[in-house]
Amino acid sequence: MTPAGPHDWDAALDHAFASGKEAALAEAYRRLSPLVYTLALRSLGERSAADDVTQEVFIRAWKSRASYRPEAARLPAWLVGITRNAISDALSARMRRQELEHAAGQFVGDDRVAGPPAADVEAVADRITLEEELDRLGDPQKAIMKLAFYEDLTHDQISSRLQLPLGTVKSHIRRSLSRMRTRLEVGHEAS
Amino acid sequence: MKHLDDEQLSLMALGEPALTPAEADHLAFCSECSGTLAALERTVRAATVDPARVELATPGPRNWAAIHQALGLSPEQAEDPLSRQGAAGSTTTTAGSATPLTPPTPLRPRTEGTAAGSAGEAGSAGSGSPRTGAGARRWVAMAAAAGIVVGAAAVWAGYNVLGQGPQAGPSPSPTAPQPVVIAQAPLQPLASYTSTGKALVEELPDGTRQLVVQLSDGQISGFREVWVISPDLSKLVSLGVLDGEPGVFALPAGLDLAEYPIVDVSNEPFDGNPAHSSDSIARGELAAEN
Repeated sequence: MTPAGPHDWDAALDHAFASGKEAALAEAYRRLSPLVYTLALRSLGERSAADDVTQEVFIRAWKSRASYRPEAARLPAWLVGITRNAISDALSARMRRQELEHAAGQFVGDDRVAGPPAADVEAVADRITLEEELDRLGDPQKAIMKLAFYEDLTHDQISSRLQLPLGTVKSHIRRSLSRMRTRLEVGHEAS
Repeated sequence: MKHLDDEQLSLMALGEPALTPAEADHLAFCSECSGTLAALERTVRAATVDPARVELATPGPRNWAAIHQALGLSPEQAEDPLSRQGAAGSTTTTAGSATPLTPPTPLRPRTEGTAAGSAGEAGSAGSGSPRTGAGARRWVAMAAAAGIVVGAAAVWAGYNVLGQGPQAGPSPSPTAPQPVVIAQAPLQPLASYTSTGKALVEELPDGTRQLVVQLSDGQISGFREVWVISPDLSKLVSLGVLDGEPGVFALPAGLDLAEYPIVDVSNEPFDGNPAHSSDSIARGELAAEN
């Protein structure tokens, strides 16, 4: 019920985090831990495993803050990347464990829980990734895509709003969308 | 028939009908084209998902305790940041406010850390009402500003077309010609600030315009700079430093305020970086005076 989301992210937080301000870590946790936790819960199905991943993500992030560059990535996107890695590590560890358990003839039931639909949660994480890609596009591509995405304007309307030729708007839309698609697909392969 | 081109597929993914019947037939039978379209549609869906509609589970308090301990953080960070929301007992949260716009184009992040203070303040407790993050209200305001832009531009255009210039208004005193207010904007505080005020566009008898900015005092870490910003967030113009009360800024003759209807006052650190700090104190949108 509290709208403490990752989508109104202030770049100042990125810099505060990079320079080691603990308050920025706490704020990142406040804003992003529900997403991190829910992504882990959906993938791993157990609260205890999701707890572990959540702790791991923020501990890993803080310890490697020296390698975080605010110019290159916004903190939410960076944390989503760490989350995907941590979940994938947890899944491999579980697989190894289950193989051992199967070998020993004892398959342990787990406390699987249902959470929000996986597709929705993934889309929220993807949106964070895409917002960063949108930032990297630069103008006028970024302005064009925002008008298309968030104000639902047609390419015709965008062309007259921004006073750019129709052909230019269309080709920017094609290239930007394809770049964003690639970014998403690469992100998912990595996880 | 040859494949559909990627421009058509991109526009379709964005919901624009862009196909002839022959092309639609091709799409129905071509797995390559329909595959590309599906991937582009997924991308558009992800970019436009409303995080406020997705319920997220909240990690329990022992998670922060474990992080706090593992990293040896200072005692002042001991409280679970999630409990600061004043949402005790709630088991779910939403992923974000329904802000239709992401942080805007022109306010680029600086390349060096300058605003640690705002991160600390951003975590301060909200009372009663659901609080948004430090940046949230700002972008909500931005979105609102962007929303009114068409209206504001229309008013400006109407004003110009009808030629209801200041001369048509109350006649100025012949001895001491007074500037005429042709537009104004209430300035509302953003993020962690409380300063409020007003911006007026005045036209002087010689036809030049000036922006008069009045803003109540408040604690800031740097100096105050006045900007006008375009509705699509792609452009901004600095008008100068707001020092005295009120600040008066000459508006260049070629500056079309319909293009830059948003008045913004920022908190600028003394770092020699001429870009907007992304740290706005107050903001408002100009509306023409009738």
